[in-house]
This record gives sequence, C-alpha cells and structure tokens, in this order.
Amino acid sequence: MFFKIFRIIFFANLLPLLILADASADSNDITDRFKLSGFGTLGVVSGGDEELGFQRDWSRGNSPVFDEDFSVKQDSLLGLQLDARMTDNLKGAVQLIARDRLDNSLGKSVEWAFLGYDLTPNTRVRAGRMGVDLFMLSENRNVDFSYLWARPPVEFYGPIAFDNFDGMDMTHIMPLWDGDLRFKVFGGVSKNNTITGRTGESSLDLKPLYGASVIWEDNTWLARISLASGELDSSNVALQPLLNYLTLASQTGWPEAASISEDLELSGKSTYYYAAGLAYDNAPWQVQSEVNLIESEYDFFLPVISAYVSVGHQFGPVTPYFLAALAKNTEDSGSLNSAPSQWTPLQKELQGIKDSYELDQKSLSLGFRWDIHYDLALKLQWDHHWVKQGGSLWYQQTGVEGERTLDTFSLNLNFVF
Amino acid sequence: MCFAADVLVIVNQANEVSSLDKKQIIDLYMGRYQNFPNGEAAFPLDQPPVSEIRTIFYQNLVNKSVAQMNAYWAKLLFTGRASPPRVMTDSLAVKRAVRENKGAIGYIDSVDLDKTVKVVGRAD
Repeated sequence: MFFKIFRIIFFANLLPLLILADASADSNDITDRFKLSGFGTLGVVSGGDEELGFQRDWSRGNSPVFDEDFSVKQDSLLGLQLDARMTDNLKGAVQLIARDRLDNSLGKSVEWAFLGYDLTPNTRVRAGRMGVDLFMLSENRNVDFSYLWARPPVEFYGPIAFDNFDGMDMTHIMPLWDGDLRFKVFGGVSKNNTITGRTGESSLDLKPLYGASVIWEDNTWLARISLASGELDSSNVALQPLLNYLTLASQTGWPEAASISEDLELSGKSTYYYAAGLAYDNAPWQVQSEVNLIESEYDFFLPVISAYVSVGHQFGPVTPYFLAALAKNTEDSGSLNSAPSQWTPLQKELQGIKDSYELDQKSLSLGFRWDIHYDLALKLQWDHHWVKQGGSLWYQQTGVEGERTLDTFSLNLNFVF
Repeated sequence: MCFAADVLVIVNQANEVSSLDKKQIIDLYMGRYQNFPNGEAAFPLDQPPVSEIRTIFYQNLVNKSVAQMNAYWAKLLFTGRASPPRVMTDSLAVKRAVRENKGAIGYIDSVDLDKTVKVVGRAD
C-alpha cells in the first residue's frame, strides 16, 4: 500500500513538471511552483587491509576497499531534488540519488518522494517516502556538503543500512526559551535494504518501523533525543544451505541445532534504537557529540553502544577538526556448545558467523574542510582505527581474529547547486 | 547617517507586520518558521551569494559565513524541511519583489531604502 502511495506521489510531482515546465517564466513571481536543486560528492578513499575492507556503511558492501587500494565508489554520488509547491500549505519533493549500490533500479534511487501539508503554521504532516530521523545526520548523511567531515562517523552511522521509509510523519514546532522545540513522530516500512556480510547478501526490511524525536535548538545549541523500533524481515538466499544443514544436524545427533536455526532467523524479531545528541555551533567553534544504543531480539546482532565527539575550529574558509568515535558491544557473542564430531565443521562455521557480528572499535580522525566557494568544499581526512574482535563494520569474507589497526585516507570534493 | 553595515529588513507596505525582532528575522531566514508571527505565509528573499550585503547580513544575524549558511541550508533543503530564501540579482530586484508580493521579506543596505517598502527590523 505504501509503495502505491509513494508511486502516486512520485508521479503527482513529476508529471506536472513536464507539462508546466515553462509556466513559471514571470520573473516577478517569487513563489516558484517548482525548484530543481542538487548535491554531490567526488571522493576518493584509501584504506582496509587484506581481510577487512573499508565501507562507508553496511549498504556500501558493493565496493569495499581492501589493502590500502583506492576507490571512488564509496563516497562519490550525485543527488537531484525537485521541490514542488502546490499551495502555501501543500508541498512535495522528490529526490533521486545516483551512487554505487547493489540494486540500482529507479525504485532504490528514489531517496525521498513525499507530499507535506501544513495543518497549522507549526504542524506539518507528510506522506510518502522520507528520511528516517534516527540520529543527527541520518536524514542528510548523503549530503556531505552539509557537515564538517568526509562522511558521518563510521562507528556511529556504519550499522545503519537504511536511509528512508515509506509511511507518514508529523512534526510540531513551538518556541521554548530562546529557541524552538520540535517534536516528530513517524511510522511506516523501510524495504529492500541490501546488506552484505559473512552470510552473503541479505535484503533487510523493517516493517513496521516507527519512532519519535524531540529536538531543541537555538542559534548555537542543538540537543536531541530519539527512539525508534522496527520489526526485521529478511530474505537471505545464501543462508538456506546452512539452514538445511542445521535441520539435518538437529535430526542426527545435534539437537541444539534446531534452536540455532531459530536464532538465525531474522524475520519477526524487533530491533530498538535509542539516541541522544548535542551540538554547539558558534564561530569559530563547532562541537558535536552523539551517543546511541542499538538492541535487537536477533541474537546474532549483539547490543552495541556507540558514540563520537568532534571539535572543529574555523580559520577563515578552512575548518580543521578532530573526531573521536567508538562502537562496542555490551556483551560478547559467547561460544556455541560443542557439537558431535561429524557436525564440528558446521559448528565452527556458525561460531565464525556469530563472531563476525562482534564489534569493538575506536577511531581518531584528523581533517579539514576548506570552503573553496560558497557552493564547493574540499575535505581531507585521516582516520586511525583500532579494531578488536569481529570487525563487523568492515567488509569481510572470512573471519578475523586478534587486534589490528587500520588507516583510512579520504579526499572529497562536495558541491551543491 | 548611513553606514555600509546598516542592513534593514523590509516588507510590503500592505503587510500587517509592523516590526520583527532579531529572533523572528532569524526564524524566517533560517527556515524554522515559514510564516510571519501573524500567520501569513512569508517568502524570504536573499541577496546574491557573492555580495557584501549578504555577508554582513548573516554575519550580524547568526555569526555565520555565506558558505556556512549554505551548508546549513543543504541540510534543511535536502531533508525536505524547508527551502532556502529565493536569491535575487541585487537590491533593486529585492525592493521590486517586496513591492509586488505581499508576503515577501527582504534585506537591503539603508542607502537603498525608499518609500515604496516598509522597514520592520534591522540586522546589526
């Protein structure tokens, strides 16, 4: 149903444009009916080692960067947005993003497509496909021009493989002290999020997905808290042989295999996100910090707490910054009980999968953003990562053991138009 | 007594709003509210990106450079929250648009002020 709504909104926005493309020629009319704008990044990144491939987030497993190779595919993208204004109260937008992804169909390229209606000057409802307001940057994580760093901190934003959902949201804004308080509630479904990992390629849905956020901001401070919950639904064809073996094992001497098989099933299990953030932006200082906890009923995804703090100082058009981030499981993956000897290889494989979800990582980054022009910024960033266990933020084909350090170098050109 | 940095905020003569304080001007130019305090829809106008008056206006209002404002607007625009002020070619175009649109709001150097528009505030 949501897809239908989204399709209707998509065409409701696009078709009038094609018909009325030259209808707004009157230069004195300042209330444009349509406006086309865009953003993009031309970026090159080098990082990874022989076993751990760098990826910007879990949805970029299409082109991991191994062994300090270079890639332009991780960060480069182009976004186009068409804003439509039907009346003072009724507005819509369609955003398309071209970037490297496993499924590059038009459907996946549509980042947003929604209609918004102002119930009152302070209350807006929207319907269609929209960004998920999970963390401070989750709605604009692709718009690299809008923040200081080369990309949102991987320790924090890496495990979020979905950008949008099809559904509805409602926002209310009211003055409070010297600033404004903004409430938002949202609900819908987030579908066809492709993630790649040790168990192959999975298509992950969150249905339903719902949540709420409260934000207070004035001209220098922004404080926010948010929570969200989604029920997982997944199809992972690559997992099927493993499940078949588990069924067989449960009938031939390893009864525990039946419960492991249930543990491996994602569908029907809920995941929970809790987050808080604080930002201070008052020239020349730019400070930002967030903390979140992700929990899941899916035993293989261990609870993870992550946080970062960033400090930037502006010198004219150049803003050097420092960023520290960490992500850590609050419990370890545990060991499977030993299996009868004929099933030991299967047990080892399962333990490997379990361990590959482990996460214990810290990083320090140094970089600068240079605003070359009002619509063009250049960023250079160096990250040094300390990775213990699992390394699940990285792309990996085989399990990894022990501690290691990795470096990532990024050079980005960000623009808006 | 006219200084280059004397930036006046102007609206249409028929606009019922008689004055805006600094926060109200910021609210409209930062996209937090899309309406005047009386509930009428507001259409903020900007000066050209490379112009002294735009630099001074945002410096005085929110202590941000034009590039920083652009980064701020990239977030609002591309998350679908609000659209940035419409960019006009110069102060003459700002005044003309304010004269011809009841909901328009703009800013100009005080030396460019004339009787065709109404001053409701200043950015200093």
